[in-house]
Amino acid sequence: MAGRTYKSEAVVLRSLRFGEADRVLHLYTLERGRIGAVAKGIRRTKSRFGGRLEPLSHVELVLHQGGGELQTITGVELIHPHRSAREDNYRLGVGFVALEAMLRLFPEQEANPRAFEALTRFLDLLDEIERRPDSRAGVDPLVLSFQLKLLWLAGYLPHLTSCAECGAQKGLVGYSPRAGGAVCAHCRADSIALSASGLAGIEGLLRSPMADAAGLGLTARAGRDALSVIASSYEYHGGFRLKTLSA
Amino acid sequence: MLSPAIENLVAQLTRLPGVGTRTAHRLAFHLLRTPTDEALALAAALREAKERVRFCADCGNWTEEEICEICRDARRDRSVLCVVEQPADVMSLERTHEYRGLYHVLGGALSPLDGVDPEDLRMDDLFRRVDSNGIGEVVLATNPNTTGEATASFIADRLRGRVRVTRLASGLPVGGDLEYADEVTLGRALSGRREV
Repeated sequence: MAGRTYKSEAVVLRSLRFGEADRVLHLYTLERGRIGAVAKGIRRTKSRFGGRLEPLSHVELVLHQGGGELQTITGVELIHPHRSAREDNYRLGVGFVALEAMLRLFPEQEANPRAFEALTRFLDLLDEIERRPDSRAGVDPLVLSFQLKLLWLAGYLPHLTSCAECGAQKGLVGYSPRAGGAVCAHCRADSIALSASGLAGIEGLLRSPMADAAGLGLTARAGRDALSVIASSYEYHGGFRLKTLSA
Repeated sequence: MLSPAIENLVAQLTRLPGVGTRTAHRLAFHLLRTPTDEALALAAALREAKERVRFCADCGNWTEEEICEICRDARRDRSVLCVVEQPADVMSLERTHEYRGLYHVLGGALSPLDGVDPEDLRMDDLFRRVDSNGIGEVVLATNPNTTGEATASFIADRLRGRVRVTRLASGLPVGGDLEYADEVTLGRALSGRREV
């Protein structure tokens, strides 16, 4: 059967050595969502791909879909290299968390233009962020905001305005991934503790655009609570933990 | 269709990097056609290499002794240490005949997505060597890709203020044409330009 060649915008999520001089790339494409593709000869110094296909790169690809599972990259144009994110250890750490979240939350070959737009917007903002004092990459407001929005796009938006079990409006003290939201003191069994600042912080992150995340004044406790909500949602709904968060 | 012995040989050959089933069949048939002593010499060489070759206790390069030839060589500059990801990188740098210092092989690069953390590499040995062996300069020669840059940046952060840290230059391949250079490489060549 003859293959099909098509063009798509894509973000490189992961790059693995393959064979003598090739790489297998995990890509999130605008046209087809998550795909795997081979970049032949890319590890050779005279490769025509050069440095365009590194993780975090936003590119326009020409892809060939043959009979196998992996597609083949036949052409690439750089839209944005996100070099300043790649060359700063803190930004790179934040970027890796986002890339792994995309890899794990959207494993299927299925277009999701809003997820793609969120990812490219995140990368644009990543180039500009500053390291917060005593802050780990996993609790940076930008990546917390991005992951909460991904949970929303994946259909796992946490319900935070009232108790997800009994509907009580006040006295919310925990988060239950099973119930899908915040819970009150009476319904707190199997939940993780959630402070008032954490609850307000998560609501703020969900309500505001990613560009405003750093300006929300998230406290250290609120950042940790947001991370707990995200991590427990991943574990409950997707059955995974992010390696980049345990590093 | 093939005998179990040939099937086994093919299966073992396909485990080599870059060798698919068809190439493995071709190699297996070639080995079967060659004289017995030649084929067995290959097997003996494999066994000998696996039994005798190990990592140098100082730098992590391949060696048959406790300490490799480069680390034992009194003519090498012991104040400069070049950090690479794999033993094969030592060979590439040695071929240049430009570098006369010592090496440190990390055994890979940091990759949070793959769960490769500093403790999975020979990082502690590197920092110990720098502190105790009178090293004046550390040359970071990890690969110019995302994981290699992350590794170089991590080491540079840890060694800042303790020793001079340099990074291999990035730029255009000698003999190439500018019009064929990709934006990333050309951009780095521009920002790393030097006065002549």
